[in-house]
Amino acid sequence: MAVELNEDNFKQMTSKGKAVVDFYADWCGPCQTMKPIFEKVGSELKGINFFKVNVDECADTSSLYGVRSIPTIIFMKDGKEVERVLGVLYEEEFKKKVQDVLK
Amino acid sequence: MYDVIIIGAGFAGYTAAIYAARYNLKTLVIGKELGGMITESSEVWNYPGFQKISGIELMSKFLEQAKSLGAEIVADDVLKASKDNDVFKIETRQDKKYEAKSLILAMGNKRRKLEAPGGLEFESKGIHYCATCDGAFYRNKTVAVIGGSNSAAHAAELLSRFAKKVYVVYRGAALRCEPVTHDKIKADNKIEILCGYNVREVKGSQFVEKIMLDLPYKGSVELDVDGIFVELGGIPNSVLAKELEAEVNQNNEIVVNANCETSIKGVYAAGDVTNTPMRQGIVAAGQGAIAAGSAYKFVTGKSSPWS
Repeated sequence: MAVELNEDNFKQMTSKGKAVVDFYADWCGPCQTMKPIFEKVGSELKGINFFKVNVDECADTSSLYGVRSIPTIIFMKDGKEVERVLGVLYEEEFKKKVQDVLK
Repeated sequence: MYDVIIIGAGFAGYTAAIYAARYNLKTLVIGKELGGMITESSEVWNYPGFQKISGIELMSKFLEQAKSLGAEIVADDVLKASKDNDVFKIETRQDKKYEAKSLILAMGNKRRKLEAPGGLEFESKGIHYCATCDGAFYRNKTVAVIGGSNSAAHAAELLSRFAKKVYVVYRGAALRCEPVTHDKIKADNKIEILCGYNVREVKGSQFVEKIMLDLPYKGSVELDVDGIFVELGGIPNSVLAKELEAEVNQNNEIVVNANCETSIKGVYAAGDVTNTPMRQGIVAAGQGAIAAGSAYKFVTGKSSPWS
């Protein structure tokens, strides 16, 4: 299961290693398509942290990262954003993207 | 080899899957966006059996029901559909290939884009196509809704909960929405309705900053906005039907008869992608059930127990 982050632990949890963060909300249609894909790929790829951020509960973090449309998936290395994707990626393409960006 | 592949995962697609699975057909649903367009509706008030429910919640019930009955459901985008002898072949964006004895097309509508200069350039940089998805990012900001339909009016109503100002820019003389919604947005003092105006251009730097109108409004053709929500309606997503050489009318709708049969044997269609008399979930669901019955008859040679 992807770990849910909050305003207090976001920085610390993403500060080291490789991370993929899914900015989502419960009321967002496309996020419902992304959710099981994110979980599945997250359980398959080792050595990468899969996190999710509920934009309603984390308005400050979302705005700090300029999230204006969801789902937004941000790829991070040692606390720094390396790339982002807006909108849904399907299972195979998401998996490939994670492997390419965070190899 | 599947007995039936259903393309689209909204009311029509899921209902077809529920019926097909109960006919014991080997069934696959491929949905570009699971739940379809209704998942963009925060409140559904007219789906019988539910006094009020969110589009997401309603569709998650459809999905669970179809799954529990044995239908397979995948999220992917079908790029190609073809017929080779009696086999239908499907190719997807993820390079997956599937084969089926019959097809049910239930791809719904795709959104009409804002074609004015800047429209594409600022997509996701202030130009949005889903007020329920992205509206909350405009708390205390100024936004504009482009369009005059019922969906446009609903978007304005929703956005006024977050934004400090909502313009509705519509080229027609008067909005075309349900009277209840019209009364609501007219009474809302955050909403300003501009009828008879066209968007000539969208300008900004990193994000949207202003709309250039074709005529001056309150003395200026510039309208300062932080975000734009485009509600210009939908176009039936019927490209795959054309590839299969099924009949499509001048409005891009797949032509079906009362049995949801298209002009190609073994290909059925249901919901908003068809020449339906009414673009509503309940109608799409009904057509999905009919299409599944017709596919069952085609695949097994038996007539549906309900016909």
